[in-house]
Amino acid sequence: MFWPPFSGFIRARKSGRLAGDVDFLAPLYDLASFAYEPMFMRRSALALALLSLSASSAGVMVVNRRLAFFPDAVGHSIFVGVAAALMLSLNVQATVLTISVLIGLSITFLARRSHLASDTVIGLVFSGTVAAGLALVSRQPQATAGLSRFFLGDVLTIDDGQIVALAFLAAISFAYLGLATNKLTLSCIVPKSKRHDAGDYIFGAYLAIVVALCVQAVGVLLVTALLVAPAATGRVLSVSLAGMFWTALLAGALAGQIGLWASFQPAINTTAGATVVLVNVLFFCAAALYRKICPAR
Amino acid sequence: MNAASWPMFPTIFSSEVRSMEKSRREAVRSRVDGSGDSGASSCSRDGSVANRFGERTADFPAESAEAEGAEKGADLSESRPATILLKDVSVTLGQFKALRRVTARIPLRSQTVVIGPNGAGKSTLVQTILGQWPYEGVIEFDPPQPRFGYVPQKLDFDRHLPLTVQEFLALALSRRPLWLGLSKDVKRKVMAGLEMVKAEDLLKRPFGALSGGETQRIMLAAALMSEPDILLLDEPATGVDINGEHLMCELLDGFRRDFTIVMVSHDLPTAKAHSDWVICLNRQLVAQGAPERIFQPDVLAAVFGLHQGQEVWPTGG
Repeated sequence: MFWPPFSGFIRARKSGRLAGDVDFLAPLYDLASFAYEPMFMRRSALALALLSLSASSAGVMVVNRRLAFFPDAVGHSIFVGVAAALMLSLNVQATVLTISVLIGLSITFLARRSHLASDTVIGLVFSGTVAAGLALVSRQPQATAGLSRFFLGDVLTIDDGQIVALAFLAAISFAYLGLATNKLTLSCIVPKSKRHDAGDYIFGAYLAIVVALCVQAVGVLLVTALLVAPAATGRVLSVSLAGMFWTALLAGALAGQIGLWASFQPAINTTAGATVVLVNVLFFCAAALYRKICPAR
Repeated sequence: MNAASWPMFPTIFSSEVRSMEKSRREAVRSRVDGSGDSGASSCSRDGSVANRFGERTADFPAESAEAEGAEKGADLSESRPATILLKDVSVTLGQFKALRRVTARIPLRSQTVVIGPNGAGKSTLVQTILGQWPYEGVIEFDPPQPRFGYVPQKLDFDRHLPLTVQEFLALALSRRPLWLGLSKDVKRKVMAGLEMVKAEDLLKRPFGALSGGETQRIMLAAALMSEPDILLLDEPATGVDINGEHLMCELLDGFRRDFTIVMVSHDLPTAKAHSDWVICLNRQLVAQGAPERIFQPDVLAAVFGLHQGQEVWPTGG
């Protein structure tokens, strides 16, 4: 339901127009079967692996550019997207993505154009979108049901279509960062002109897409942590940008798998998304403690 | 970054450079004349440009300057073609008029110092040349699209950013993202850049943890590595101790005549020692010319007040 292009594709294949299931995922599921028996857990493990790669790598830029609240603002705009889609009976996924990108672009625009600091702009857009979402929902009480999914996210109900989409996201994420990392980092240091720079807008749109997809897995409340916590861990542990990037990826991927595994244990039995974020934050605490005990150099 | 042109750097410190000055000047002339561009041809009219705006500014007659330059044989700033020509440039920042109808020229391969009191719009002038502010008026460049090297006055960035000096210098050089490592070629270029500013020992240090003087040197290395036509320095001595300042001055002296250097300064002795062209600014142009002419009590008095003019430069005759 949530990934119309891909779900449609898979349905078409299942219905015989195209034979078989999403074949290339099968080996990955086999791999995940070493850890988990149930199919939904294998899917979740795969989804979290892909998601954490995108989120952690994007998070490095978020942390270094001091945009930690950007994911929050974009995440909350999902309410507007869902409410608007339900009211106008549009495709939920497409509307959510479009609104997220628009919000991301408008934050970038305001931060560059107005004389306000970016945290002020993000705060404004954040409150504005939450208010708009609440206003829309208050007119349409039946929309509340659709919203709860986005509040907490649900990594356990991810389907094949979503996993394919997340694989695309991870690929696009790495391709984009491969091209843009150096320029984005340089602009953290060297003061730039106030003129419009396409790079900033592309970054805003990219970040919005990553956030919109992450919200599906861990929900609006926790999306910031999924991006920021691994990057913060990487930053604490390394003195070079390359070090920070790879440490963040490792921390994010590990925390995702450990969190999922822990949440599945009968003794723990907690929500997967929250557990993943909790492990991420614990990783950061451990890293900070380690740095405190043995300072760099 | 053009890799082929990189080997020019080792020659920068050699004395050969200065001995080649004469032939280069001729080469520059032919380049300007040969370009046929309208902006370039208006720049190549040498002293006449300065003359044209003579009424509005306290500029000095180009003829006499040229005569003096020929006498000295070394300093021909006033007869050299301009690399930057500002005509009636005004900049308004919000409600504040930072620059008012500034008309000035910066001669090719000169060491131009922009002096003026605090808030005179010196930094704004440099940033306007860099294209960072919208402006009214005309700015002409020769070559039409020069490469700029810029060392800002102060870097305001997150000091805890995990980034080594090596990585910072590689940012502008390398297309490969930093997290895929640096190629041997880039490493070699970074090292060569550090050697130019005598900062090889800083290679692996975190960039944010450098002192003010070290940061300035690294920024200078970054600016030089872009092989600039015009190097713009905004108060290179700010926040740097005496030793650091001397080092910076030595470095800059080594690059004299290799490219145009535009330096903002409110330190008059430094300005006098390291310039062959001076622009006095106080929101509008007060004076421009060779340092011997600008550093006179009457001109300095007009810019900084009488006291300053008499204290620092008693009439030398």
